[in-house]
Amino acid sequence: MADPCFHIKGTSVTSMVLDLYRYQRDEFAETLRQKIETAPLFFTGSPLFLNLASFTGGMDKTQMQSIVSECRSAGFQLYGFRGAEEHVAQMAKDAGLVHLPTPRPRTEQAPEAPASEPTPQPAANSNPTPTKVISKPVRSGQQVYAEGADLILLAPVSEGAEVIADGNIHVYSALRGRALAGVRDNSNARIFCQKLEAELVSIAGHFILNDSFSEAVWKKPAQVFLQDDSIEIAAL
Amino acid sequence: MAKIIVVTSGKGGVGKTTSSAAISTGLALRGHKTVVIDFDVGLRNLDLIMGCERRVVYDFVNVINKEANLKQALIKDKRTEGLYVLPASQTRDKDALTHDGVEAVLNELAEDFDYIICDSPAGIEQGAQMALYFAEEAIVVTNPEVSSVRDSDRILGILQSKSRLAEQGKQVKEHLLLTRYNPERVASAEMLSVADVEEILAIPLLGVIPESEAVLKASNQGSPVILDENSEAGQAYSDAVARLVGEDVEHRFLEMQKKGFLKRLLGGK
Repeated sequence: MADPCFHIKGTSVTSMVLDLYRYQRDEFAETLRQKIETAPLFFTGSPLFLNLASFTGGMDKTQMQSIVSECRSAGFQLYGFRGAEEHVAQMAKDAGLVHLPTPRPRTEQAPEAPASEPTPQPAANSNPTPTKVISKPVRSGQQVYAEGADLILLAPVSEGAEVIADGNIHVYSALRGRALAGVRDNSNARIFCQKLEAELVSIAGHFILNDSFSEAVWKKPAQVFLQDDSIEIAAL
Repeated sequence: MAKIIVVTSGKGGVGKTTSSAAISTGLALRGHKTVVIDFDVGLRNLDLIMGCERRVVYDFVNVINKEANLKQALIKDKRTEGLYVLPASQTRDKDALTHDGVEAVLNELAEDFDYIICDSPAGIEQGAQMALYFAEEAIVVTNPEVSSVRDSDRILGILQSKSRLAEQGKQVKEHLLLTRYNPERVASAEMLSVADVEEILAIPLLGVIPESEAVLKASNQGSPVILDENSEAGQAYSDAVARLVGEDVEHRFLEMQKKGFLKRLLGGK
């Protein structure tokens, strides 16, 4: 057998997508700035592509270039686009973006919609990221983040620790630290745990502290979910 | 090849140095050639507890800086055969401990000794991280109260992320040593119980050392408490050392004892 110096394989990478509906420079810059303020750490350095499938209105070369420079100066790693009409596609290529193939059968919903839109389905990705499984305790001062995925913890989460997921969080042990599920605006995300002693639970940016937990669920198996923009905790 | 064990806690004043002295003495008593290193550069205490403070000429930092060799700096314990102390410097600070320097000293010690006990300073900064970096096993000293447990939890996180074994994707073997345990105060809910601490930290229990005047007395006399065979604390440390080397010893001193007058007079058993 020869010993090849490389392999080419298929892989899937989690990326954010910006669904552009219309473009007006000041509005775009302002919306982008607001979006990033909600969670600066999660957006900085994130890979991003432009979905132009729902784009209406005209676009010229300067506008395309300013979209690229605004996204990049905001900290995103904008690398590509898809779903554009031919002349827009040419401008995007000229601006240095990679043309990504449009997924064939399903009409994709936007995971990152503007605030006015109803919250879209979380699992629009045809290649879901595998769930992150942690089997050792998450200790005080440690942080675990499951990017674009669910997070499963098989050991306790200590006070002062933080577990974060874009999807759901399952703790098959005691949850004593902070748990933040659906951090990228996924309001369908839930937190499940065997023993609820958390300092804070959060779904899609809404959070409550343990002083507002009811006695009925404290130190019991419980789930946390979002209902009408308010956090609910139910016994399991 | 020596086994490197760090005695650490995060929080100060919980009994790291007392435990380092007792455990290293216990290992030597069992016939294992042992060296105990004081990593608390600038605040050296171990030599006091070991009762060898007047014999400190060269120290750990001198060896790292190659101002003295190991033979000159190691202090042979006068009471216990096969036990050596490498004292800390009082005139430097913790930045004097360089990564390569510590590694070179540990490698040289490893050729001669069975056990290397690293007495960590308090905190989670450079000094503490240097003490735990090369460890294969860790004895986490905890008092049965919430702030100590929280700090121990933090140091366990650092052990599993910043030690050499962790960087190699392996795991440092963890032991919980609960010190200053007072069953009466547990019963009156002034202290956390063994079960509470075990549940929060989720690591195996190496030993429970009862709160005892013998510990203070031993420290003041410069004689590790494990040598005081009549004290409960001394016996508890002996048990812990037995467990450390793999023996299966039942835990003692966990329950409140109602001692009669005669029994007190004859010494605690």
